Amino acid sequence: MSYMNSARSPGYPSGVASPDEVVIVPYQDGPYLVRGPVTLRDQRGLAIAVSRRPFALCRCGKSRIRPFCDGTHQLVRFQAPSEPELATTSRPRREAAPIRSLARLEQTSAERAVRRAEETVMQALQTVSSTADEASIRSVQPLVVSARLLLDGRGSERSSADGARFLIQGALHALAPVVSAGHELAVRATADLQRAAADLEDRP
Amino acid sequence: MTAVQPFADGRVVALPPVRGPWTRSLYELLGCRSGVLARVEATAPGELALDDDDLQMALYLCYELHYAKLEGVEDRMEWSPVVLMLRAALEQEFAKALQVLVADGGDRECGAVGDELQRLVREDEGPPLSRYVQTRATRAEVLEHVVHRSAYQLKEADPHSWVVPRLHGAPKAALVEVQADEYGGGRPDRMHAALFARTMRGLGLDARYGAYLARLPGITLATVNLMSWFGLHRRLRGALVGHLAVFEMTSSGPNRRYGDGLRRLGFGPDVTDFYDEHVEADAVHESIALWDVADGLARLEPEVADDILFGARALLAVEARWGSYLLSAWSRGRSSLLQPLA
Repeated sequence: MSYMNSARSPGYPSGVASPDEVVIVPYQDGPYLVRGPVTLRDQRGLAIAVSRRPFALCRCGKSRIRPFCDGTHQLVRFQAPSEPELATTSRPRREAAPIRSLARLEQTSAERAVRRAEETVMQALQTVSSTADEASIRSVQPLVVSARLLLDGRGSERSSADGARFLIQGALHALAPVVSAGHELAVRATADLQRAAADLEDRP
Repeated sequence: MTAVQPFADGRVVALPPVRGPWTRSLYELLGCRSGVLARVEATAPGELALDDDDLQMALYLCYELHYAKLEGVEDRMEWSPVVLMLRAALEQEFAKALQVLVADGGDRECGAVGDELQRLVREDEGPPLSRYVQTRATRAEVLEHVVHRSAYQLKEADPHSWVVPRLHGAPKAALVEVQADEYGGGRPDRMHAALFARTMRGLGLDARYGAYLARLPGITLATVNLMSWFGLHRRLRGALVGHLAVFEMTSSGPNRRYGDGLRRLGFGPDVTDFYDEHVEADAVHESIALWDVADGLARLEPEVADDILFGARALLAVEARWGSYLLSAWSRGRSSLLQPLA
């Protein structure tokens, strides 16, 4: 019965060696599953009730019942391997960025406006990043990256969209001198960022 | 502290009226004179066996022999060779229809079965049934939705239990871990089927097993027949496991939305408990069913890997067909049941 031995191999995480062992398994693209006698407390030391064993802790950050998992990782297309990531390895995506599929799942026009803005910011980011020589253009990169991060996967959350708009205005301000010097990439990035800002402005 | 519901009061199913040639033959074989049973207007055979009200009902009742007592039918008919022969014929029709419906998985990459199942779910574009219930469904539509689901949810988890003795090692241990939770983790009042009965009572519906069977169209019964068919055949164990994995993977989000829809209509925790329980429970079951049961089975028995994916695709296809049917009936202001609720 060779499979009996494999029950506790790393390939079969449900195998727990003994009843008093605690095992936490990060599942691929999913939550942390916790098995064994463990107490969950908040930062003040108050016990958090655990209504089932095993239980799943949110790993994507987007659950509505944190610290527990509610399956939202599927909706936001959370990706993470089960095995440890090494800081030095680049992160292979198993498929193209999920921006468009996310757009399909979102419903309201406010969310659609944010999605549009995010894509336009992405374009601007690519333009800005593609210049190696112009320090003045590259200097806006962190602003645009931050704007994109704020928009990414945040739906229509007002504070995120407002924050992104603020960062975009900053980037536009920094680009203005280069634009008036007639730098083509700066002109293109500016146009994209202005469109994104307009999209965020137009949210109903 | 809620009292334990007397849920084990036995499942006794009254035979629904004859629907056509399949149910008439079945009743003759079961020893019930179909002439004395009420007869509904023969429904037109569906485009596919999946929509055929008569065929799906006959198949559902063949399977019910294994789950419940059929009123006026001797218990030993469960293993009557002639009934089993009729069931085999019905299953053949069902299988043919599924082959038409379920896209061929020829494009399968050589990834792990777990990865493939994740891809299937990611790429699935089912009808927005749960979003509709969450934001717009009327009280009457929500009641209909619950009545349709009662065909399965009053025996929730039972079809997947058939596969337990057909699995071995780690996948079996993992499946039992999921099933133990489905059955309340030792608390009969927390059994998912018992929670669903409570939801039905809270909505003023009849929570007795099989009470609404006669109203259910074939397209609904097909969603349950799929599980029973996979479950009762050892050779289809892979398909059942694939069905379970995708069932759990596509459960948390929709159940949260169903709960929201019921709250929007003013229903309280006695009604929403079933759905709220599933948000958290199935978030746990999903990972176990996907990786430990399905992917684990494929690693132990690589020859059933394609069956696992077939079971997953079949579930998505049959559920999508059912969901679209409900939405389309409601959008035309019609009841989705064969006879509307009073």
